[in-house]
Amino acid sequence: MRSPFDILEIPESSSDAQIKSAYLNMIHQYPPDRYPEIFKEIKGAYEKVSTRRNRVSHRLFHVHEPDVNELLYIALKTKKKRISENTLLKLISDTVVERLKGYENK
Amino acid sequence: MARKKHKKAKKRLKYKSRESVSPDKMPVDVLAQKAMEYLNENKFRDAISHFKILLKREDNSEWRDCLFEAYKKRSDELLKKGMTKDVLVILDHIESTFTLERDPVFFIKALIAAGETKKAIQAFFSFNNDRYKESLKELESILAPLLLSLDDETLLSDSGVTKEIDNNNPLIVYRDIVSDAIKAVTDGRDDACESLIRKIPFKSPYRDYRLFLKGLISYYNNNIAEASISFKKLPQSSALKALVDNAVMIINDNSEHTRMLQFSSIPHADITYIMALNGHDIKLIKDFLIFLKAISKGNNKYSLSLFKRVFSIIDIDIMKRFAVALLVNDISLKNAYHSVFGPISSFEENRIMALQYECKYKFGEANNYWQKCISTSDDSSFEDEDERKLAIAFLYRRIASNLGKMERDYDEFWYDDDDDDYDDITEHLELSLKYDPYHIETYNRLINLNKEMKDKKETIKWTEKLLEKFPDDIPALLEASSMAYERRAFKKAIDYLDHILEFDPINREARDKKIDIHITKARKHIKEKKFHLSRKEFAAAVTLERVGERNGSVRIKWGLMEILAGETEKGKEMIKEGIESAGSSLSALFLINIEAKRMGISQLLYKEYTTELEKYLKSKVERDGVLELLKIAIPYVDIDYVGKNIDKKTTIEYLKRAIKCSFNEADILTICLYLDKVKEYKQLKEFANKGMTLYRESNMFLYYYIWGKYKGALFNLSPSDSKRIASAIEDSKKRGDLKTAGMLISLLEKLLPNMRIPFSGAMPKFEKIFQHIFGDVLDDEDDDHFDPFGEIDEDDDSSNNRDDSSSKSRRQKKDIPYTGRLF
Repeated sequence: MRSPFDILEIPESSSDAQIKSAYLNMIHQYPPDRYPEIFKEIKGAYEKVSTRRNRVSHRLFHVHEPDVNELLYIALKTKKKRISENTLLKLISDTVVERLKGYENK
Repeated sequence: MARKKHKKAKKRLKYKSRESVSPDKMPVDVLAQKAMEYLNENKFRDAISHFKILLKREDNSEWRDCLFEAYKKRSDELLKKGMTKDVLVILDHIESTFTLERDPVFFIKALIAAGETKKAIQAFFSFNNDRYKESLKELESILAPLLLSLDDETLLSDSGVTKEIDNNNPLIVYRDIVSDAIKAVTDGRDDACESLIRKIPFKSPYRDYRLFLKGLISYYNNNIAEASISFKKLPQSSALKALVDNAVMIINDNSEHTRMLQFSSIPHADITYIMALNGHDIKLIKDFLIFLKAISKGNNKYSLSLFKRVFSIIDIDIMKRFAVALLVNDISLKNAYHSVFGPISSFEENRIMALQYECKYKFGEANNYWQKCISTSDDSSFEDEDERKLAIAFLYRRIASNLGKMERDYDEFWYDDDDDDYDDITEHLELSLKYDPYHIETYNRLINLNKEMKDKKETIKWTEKLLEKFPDDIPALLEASSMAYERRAFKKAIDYLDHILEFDPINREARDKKIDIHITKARKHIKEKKFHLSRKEFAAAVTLERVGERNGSVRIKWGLMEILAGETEKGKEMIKEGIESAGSSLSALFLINIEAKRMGISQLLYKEYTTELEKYLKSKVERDGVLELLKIAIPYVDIDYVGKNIDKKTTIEYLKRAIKCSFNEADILTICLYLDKVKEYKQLKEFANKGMTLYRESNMFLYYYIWGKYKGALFNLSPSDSKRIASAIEDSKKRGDLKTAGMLISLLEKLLPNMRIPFSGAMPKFEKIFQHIFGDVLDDEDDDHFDPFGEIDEDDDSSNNRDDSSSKSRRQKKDIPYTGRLF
């Protein structure tokens, strides 16, 4: 579900030069020898939006697959703020209780 | 409810039938044996009731132990089922039958698990004296988070708890420090948190919080690696580890594993932990999980109704894209989409419809919607007019592309006029150029389409148009040169090539083409006996390639020309130089023999070369020799030379002896190509068979095999061979080997000359076509699972010569007219 712009972390109104610069930054951060999958994703995204012609083609004909795992990935990566004190304490105590429910079993 | 009652009644009945005698009336020894059996069989409920009866009759320490054991195990069983109220009842029973001091650790844990936190804390402090100190130690790390989760008021104002609390217990002493540290980290006061962490002693029940809080600080400062190190050091038994261990592994920024996450394989608890750590509200996380579950179950309508609830978790633009993706799969969700995102523009709606039809391979319907997209393009939100025009050009090209993919009904394969489709396609491509005149691929497509249609005028027109827009486009210049050459406009052809060589002086193809043109011109002059002009052309050709095989070839031809012109000595000298440059004597000698015949030179003048060639060919047969001969021979076949001279005989004789040589796949294909061109079907079949045996995966050999077997006359093609071809076409397409698929299709086209089978896109239904041609013969002859290589004939020439009376009678039986050729 992430658009090529999301992957390259740039706004949709970016120029060819801005897109290229973002692409170069990203591949510097994720070189193909260390992050082959991420690199592939970045390269694919760049190819889709590197020129105006590609951008229009992508916009017209690209069909996103409704991928639930992609949504999950986005949700897990989105940091809004820090957890609240109450939520943290509740999560910890709930975890203790949940673990004790299967205590003897473990 | 009724079902539950019925179940209970059934159970009672079962119990009664199992024990004809009531436990109350059983003798003690039988009852004790029964009770033990139930305990061992994990039937704790029955065990408890039996031991209770036994203990009423007689106080026995062994039975008491067993009863306590049965109670413990029954409470575990109930906890796992989440029946916490029933656990509390059991704990009451234990309290009334035994003192709780029998096993305080169990009792406190059971209370916590049953949700009775305050009672558990109270019990802990009431037991926390010297007698139980050691056994209760393990409970400290469990109680620590619970104490933190209770606010001061709940903890201290509750009379029951306060009364028992020992203020000197480390659980109480360090509680405030840990509590403050947690508050500091959640508030973003990392420095304060760090100084508070230092105050938590290593031996306190809160020691795990030191690592946990350190890890959290790193995590929130995007230092995932550091966070991971801290969290990994947490002991396995710690509840804190369960909370963060998987979480950090999953969200590790630099982990490729993260990209491969599968919703179905991650525990929902872990998703909750991560999202909660990232500041999402727990209730929203629960909604989000419901939403993901609905989508993964394919309940799209329901999931669309949940979209609004998850907007605060995932950006609205992403959710919109996701919704559009759902719409492409199911347009009936349109209203649900409207209710969430508002109305969509006509352009967007048409676009989605077109994409939806394309997904279903309904290209005709898709094109209707693409056409509508063009007419509603004003309605869309393109950045500017240029972008809109570009989009229209894309849409016309898409329509043209879909036209080539459209599936036809069976009957539509039978028509004589191929032009309609091409006209439609070219019309749309031409329209696209109005909006995007600098799209080189479209010009190339138009050129190729017109070439396929053998429309030279249009091919030239589009090549010239392409060169107007892209004057330095090498493929276009080469194409233009070839076309000029074809119509014998040599000067123009050379001009195009010279233009290439101006900016790309070492362009191989341009140089080769230029040499070809000079040689052609030289031949023309030789025919007219204008040897002086011919010399000029040869001289020009030689300067283009000063060394090597190509130079040798030009010199040999030049030398032969000189012999023809009466300059025998000079000619032989040039031939000698040519042989040296060519590098291979065999190919040079072969070339001399072919060219001399072609120029009509008296055999006496080049006899020495013929003798030498024959000697060479008779002496040994080897792979390299075969390939060298074919390299020279194949281009001559194309200029209709073979068949009129001995050189075909020479090559064929040589190839006959070469059948046992070791060839690779490409070699055999080259040989087959040559044998096909010179119509040597018997040998073609033999080499193709060799290829099929050695390279079973290459369907190209089947093409040559069939072609050789039927000696290029396919009207006698048997049903089994037709099916074999069809099967190989499908196989080649699956492998992406479109060239082979195309060649095999051409076999069927030769069989059925009025039928045009589209090369790309949807294939016709062969079964249906064959059924029409052969009737039910196919069912009689072939298995359902057809092996394209299952019927390799070792020596089957009968197929082409056989009397086709059997097929005739079959046709008569099916009342299909036979006209000598099918249809």
